[in-house]
Amino acid sequence: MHVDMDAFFAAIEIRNAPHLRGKPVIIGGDARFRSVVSTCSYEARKYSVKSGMSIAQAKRLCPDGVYISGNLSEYVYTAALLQRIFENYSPVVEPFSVDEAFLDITGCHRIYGTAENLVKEMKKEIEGKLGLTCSVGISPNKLLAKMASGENKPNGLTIMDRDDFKRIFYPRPVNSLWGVGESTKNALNKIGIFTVRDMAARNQEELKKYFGENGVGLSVISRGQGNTEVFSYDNRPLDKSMSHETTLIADISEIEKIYSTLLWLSDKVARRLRIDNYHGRTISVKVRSSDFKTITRDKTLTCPTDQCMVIFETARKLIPREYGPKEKVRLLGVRVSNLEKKRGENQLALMEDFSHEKMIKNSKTIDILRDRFGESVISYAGAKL
Amino acid sequence: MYQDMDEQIEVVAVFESHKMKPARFRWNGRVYKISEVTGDWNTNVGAYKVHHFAVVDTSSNFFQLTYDERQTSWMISKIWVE
Repeated sequence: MHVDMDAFFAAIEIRNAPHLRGKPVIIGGDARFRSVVSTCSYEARKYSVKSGMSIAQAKRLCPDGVYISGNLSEYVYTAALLQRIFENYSPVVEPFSVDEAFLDITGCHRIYGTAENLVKEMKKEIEGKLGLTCSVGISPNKLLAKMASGENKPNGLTIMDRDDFKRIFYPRPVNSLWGVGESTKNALNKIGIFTVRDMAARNQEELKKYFGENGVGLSVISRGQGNTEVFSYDNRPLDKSMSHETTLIADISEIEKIYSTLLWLSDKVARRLRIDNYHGRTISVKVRSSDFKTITRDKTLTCPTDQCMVIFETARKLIPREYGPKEKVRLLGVRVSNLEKKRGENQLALMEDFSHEKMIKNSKTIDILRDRFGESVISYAGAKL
Repeated sequence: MYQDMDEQIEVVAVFESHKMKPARFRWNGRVYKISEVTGDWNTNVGAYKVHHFAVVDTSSNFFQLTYDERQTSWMISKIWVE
C-alpha cells in the first residue's frame, strides 16, 4: 500500500489558519531569494502552479494566491506523527519521503475485514489527529501502488491489479509512468514509443540496446512489474550518499564567497554523516553557473571521511578555475558517496597524522556543543552564515 | 501573509492529556482568548525543546506562539496580517 498525503505542506498551513481553506495557497520561499514552489493547494493547481516552479513564475500565473514561506520543522514533526499512525496499521512501514510511505499490509487487512476498511480506519485516524487527508493506492507491488495512489486525489483510494494497470495506463503517454521524465519520454518518442502499450510491446533487449541498464527498468515498469519488498526503518538499505546544495541569493563571482559557501555545505554534510555514523570515500561538487550550465566533479579518497575540513578541501580543489572570475555561480552542492557504516574510530592515513587526530577531536567538540545547544551555536570561521 | 514577530507575552496554559495548550495570552496590555489550537509541533534546539502552537483567538485572528523550555518564556513568533 502507498500513502500519499494530499498537498501536505499546504494542507498543514490551511489547517493552522482555517480561513485559507478554498484559497490558492502556495508554499515556497521568498521570491527575492529565487525560491521555488514546494507544494500548493489544489485550488492553486487550477492556475497551473506546480511544484518546482519559481515563485516569480507562480506569482505571474496566480497573482492573488496566498504565498507562505513554510515551516519545514513543523512538516517534519507532522511526518513523524504520521509514521506512528502508519505503524498502527502495519508492522512494516517504509517512509518514502516526508509525505509518502509504503506499508506492507499483507495479512493486516484481515484484522479490519477488508483492505478498504483498514484504509477507512487509517484515514479517519489521520484526519482526527492531524486534520489532514491522504490518497491511498493498494496493489501487488510498490510501483503499481505508487501510481494507484495518484489516480484519485485528493482523499482517494484506488485498488489496482496488473489487469487494471493495463486497462488504465496502456493508452497513456509513457511519461505517465513513475520515473519516466521529459527527457526519457523524448528519447522514447524518437524510437517510436509513445504510449505505455508501445513500450510494453518492445522486448527488454531492444530497450537495453537504447537505454542500457535503464532500459531493463523501463521494460519492467511498462509491464506493471516491480519490487514488492517494503523496508522498515530498521531494515532499510544503507544510504548511498549524503548531500547538501543551495541556490545562492544572487549569482556570485568572488571566489572567497564560493569557498565560504562550500565550507558551510561541507559542514552540513559532515555533521549528518557523523550523526548517522557514516563515513564516505567519494567527494563531489555540483556547480551551476548563471546560464544554468551544471557540472559535477568528484574525487575518491584513500580513506573514508566524515570530517568537514577534508570534505571542504577536496571540494574546493574540484571547483573548475573558470567559476567565479569568468563564470558566475548560481548553485553549489557538496555530496559524499561511497558510504560505509563506521566501525570504531576513524582510520588515520598510513602515516601517523596528528593534525587529522586534532581535527577529529575538534569535530567531536563541535558535535557535543551542537547536541546540547543547537546547530547554530558554533560554526567554522569563514563559513557562510 | 504571516508577519514574523519576536515579542515576549504572558500566557495562561492548561495541561490536559499530557499536552500543554495555551488558553489566553496578554500582548501589549490586551488579553486574547484562544478559541482553538489548530496546530502544534516541537523543534529541538540542542538538548532543549521549543513548543510551537498555531492558534486562533475569539476574534478570528491567527497567531503562532512558542514556548522555549530553556528560557521558560512565551513569545509571539508570527501573526497573520491581510
